[in-house]
Amino acid sequence: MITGLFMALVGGFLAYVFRYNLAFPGESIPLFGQLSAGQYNQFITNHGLIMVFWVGMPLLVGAFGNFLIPIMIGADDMAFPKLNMLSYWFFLTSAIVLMISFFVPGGAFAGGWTMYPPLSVNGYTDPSPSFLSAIFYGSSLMIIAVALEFTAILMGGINYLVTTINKRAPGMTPFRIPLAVWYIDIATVIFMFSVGPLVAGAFMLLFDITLGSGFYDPARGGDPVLFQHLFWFFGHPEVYVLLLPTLGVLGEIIPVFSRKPLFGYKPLIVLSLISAVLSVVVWAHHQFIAGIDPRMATFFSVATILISIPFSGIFLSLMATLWGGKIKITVPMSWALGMIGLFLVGGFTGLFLGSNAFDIYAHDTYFIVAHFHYTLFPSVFFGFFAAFYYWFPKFTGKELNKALGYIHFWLTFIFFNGVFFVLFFNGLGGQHRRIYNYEMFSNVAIEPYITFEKIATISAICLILSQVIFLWNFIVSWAAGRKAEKNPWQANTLEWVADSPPPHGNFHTAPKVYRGAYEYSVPKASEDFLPQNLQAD
Amino acid sequence: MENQKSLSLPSIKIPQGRLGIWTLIVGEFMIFGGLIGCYILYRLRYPEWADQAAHTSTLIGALNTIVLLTSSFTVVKAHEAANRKDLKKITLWLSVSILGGFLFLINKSIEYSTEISHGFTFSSPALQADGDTIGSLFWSFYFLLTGLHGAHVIVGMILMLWALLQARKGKNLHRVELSGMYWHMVDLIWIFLFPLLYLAK
Amino acid sequence: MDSQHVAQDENVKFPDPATDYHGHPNYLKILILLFAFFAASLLIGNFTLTSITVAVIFATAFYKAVLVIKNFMHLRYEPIIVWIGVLAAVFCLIAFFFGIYPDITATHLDVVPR
Repeated sequence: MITGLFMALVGGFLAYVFRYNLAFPGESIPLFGQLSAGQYNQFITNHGLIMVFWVGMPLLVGAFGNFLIPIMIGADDMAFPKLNMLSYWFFLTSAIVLMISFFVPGGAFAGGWTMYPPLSVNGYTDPSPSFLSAIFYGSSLMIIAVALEFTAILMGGINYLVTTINKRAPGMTPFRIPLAVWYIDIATVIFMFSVGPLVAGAFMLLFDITLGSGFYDPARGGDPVLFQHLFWFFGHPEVYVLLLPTLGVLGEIIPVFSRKPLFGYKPLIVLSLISAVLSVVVWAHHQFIAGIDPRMATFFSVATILISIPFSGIFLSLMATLWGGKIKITVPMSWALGMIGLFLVGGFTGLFLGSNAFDIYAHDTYFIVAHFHYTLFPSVFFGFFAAFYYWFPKFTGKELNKALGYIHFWLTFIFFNGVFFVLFFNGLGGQHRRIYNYEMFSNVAIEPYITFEKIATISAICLILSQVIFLWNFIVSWAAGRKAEKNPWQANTLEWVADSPPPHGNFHTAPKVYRGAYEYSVPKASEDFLPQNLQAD
Repeated sequence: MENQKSLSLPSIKIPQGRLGIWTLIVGEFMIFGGLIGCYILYRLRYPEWADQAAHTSTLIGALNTIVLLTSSFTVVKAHEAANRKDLKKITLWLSVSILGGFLFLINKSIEYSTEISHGFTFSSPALQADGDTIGSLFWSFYFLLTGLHGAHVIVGMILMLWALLQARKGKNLHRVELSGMYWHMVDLIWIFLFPLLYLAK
Repeated sequence: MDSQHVAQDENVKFPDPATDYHGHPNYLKILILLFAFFAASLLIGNFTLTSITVAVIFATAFYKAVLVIKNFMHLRYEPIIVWIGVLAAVFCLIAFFFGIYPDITATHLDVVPR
């Protein structure tokens, strides 16, 4: 998790550098210096890669999965502890390899985080490089890093699934498992079923670069569109891999702070399974302008709009949980509500983009950038912070500072909107993403877009600065915070039965489970919550 | 401490090692399935690849199929012996299976060296110089598919050797079955590769 | 809990193959079946390839795969969750193949050598 946070800082720094460049082209950037066009491309590429693969996946799936799955189902540890450790070392190695790619000759890969050929294959001056020099290209190193990272997450995924299936406490029937565990597991299942073709595609890409094969080279009979298919067959389910754990976390937090049972627990699981099935048939909506078959574009358009149905079902259930509850606004709850609000903006703009007629106009503009930041930022960071503020007492046995938590939330919320809301207008105005300097394009370098760029950049800087509050709160509370109670939020799930922080083996006595995870405000009960391990009278 | 142990009772009757190897196998299916899918797509697009496929040796491919099928059989025999705790039989059957892996690799290397000496390599510069660029792509696929499969053969042999060394001492007998399952997966992939690369000419 | 219980639980975690006995099909019969199908597909492969022979070859390959999974890998003795996993993989691969088919195979590409 610490590694993930560090990578988040790196990714944030890259974002800061290129945003600054967009707002104030040609000026020297504080803490960095002059940014060249090549460096600009490297930075946006690696910002995307790092934020999706090295921040989103490890923070939500990796860190919380490893901590939450065993303790929430009442197990003493994961099924394969050694495999888990191996998975972490693979992950660390992959991060180091990616960092090394910045310092090789030619610099890091600069062709966009989607690694499309021919940019990733032919981006170098030497037409037929030797194997040894080609393996040290930025693009080769990037592919190796991504492959290592996938291996790490696959190993973790095997571990999660086996743990959940085999190591549940007695009485923990499938439909008593907390939603967070369900959703993390479904996310790993989606990952496992979609990543294979991309691993194959990464092999082909690597050999295209290093050994001179022609899988993606049209002059040799290959087809670059094939890589786009392989990439997005994984890449779109990946979005749900990032989103589902967050929804699971919300499914824990919202019932606890509304003191109400989760609305429609079983339908929520069914809906997520439907979305998992649909998620493997929507990928080509990323390629509407790549020259794909128009009949297929229609199919994928329909499938994309279909998949919004299960997700709106999930969100409606979460909001129905709020309805009529005794809502307590706490720090984790405010993050959870913020996530719902922001994700709705991302989701609604996604509906427009899903129809290929509009997408062809908006593709590769800042409208897309704003759209996916409105979906990914809430699901990665808001979800992470909600989970973090919620489970921090359990992690460390210390309490976080509430006031600082609220300040952190409001600053992040405001500045996040400041960055990306204006970018919707820039995108509709025709500003293309991945442009180094707009002064060359006089037709879009006009008011109000210039001002909007500046607003976005200043907000981005403030957004990053407000994370300092979080780090401060984290470190100080961990070192010298007040001691937390065993169950500060009065929640039902099994992790609150264990000590804070949980000892090795999690529980002193084996918990037995007697009821579902969401029995709040049960009539005639003495308290308004009934922990899962409490025996019925 | 004792109580903690009772947490590990599986709720579904499947040992966790076997469940883990099943998830691994499903993941491998997706990798090879994606690769084979790409190959089939290109193969249907370029009927002229049949000329290139004519250069693969059906005889060696068929021999390798027989070797792999037989070694798959000996691995299940080893598993059966493990159920009876018959350590000698385990050793025998597993050694035969590893020998099968070696035979496969020897066959494969003979085949590779013939093809490479005819100028068919990963990028086949000779074919490209003749202007047959599409044909050279067939050989890229051929070497990628069989090479990746060969890597899995080596991994499977290492796993079986590991299981063998432990089973000789009577330890971790369940690993005989697990390494065997991995070996069957290798066999399974070959079942699809053989008609694709050797028969469809 | 006494030590005997602990020992039992260890067995569940790393099952003793003798207690984890789930029956064995007749392996030799399956091997012979596999060889028979293999010989048949070799034989068919010697004829000129038409769409029918190709279909037959791949049907045999598929059936051989099913035989191996069901018997050698003991899928026929596994609980339903493993079946679901394997079938889901097949579903994903089919979705993958037919999603790409119109773009790669059905698209004519003029190849201009460099």
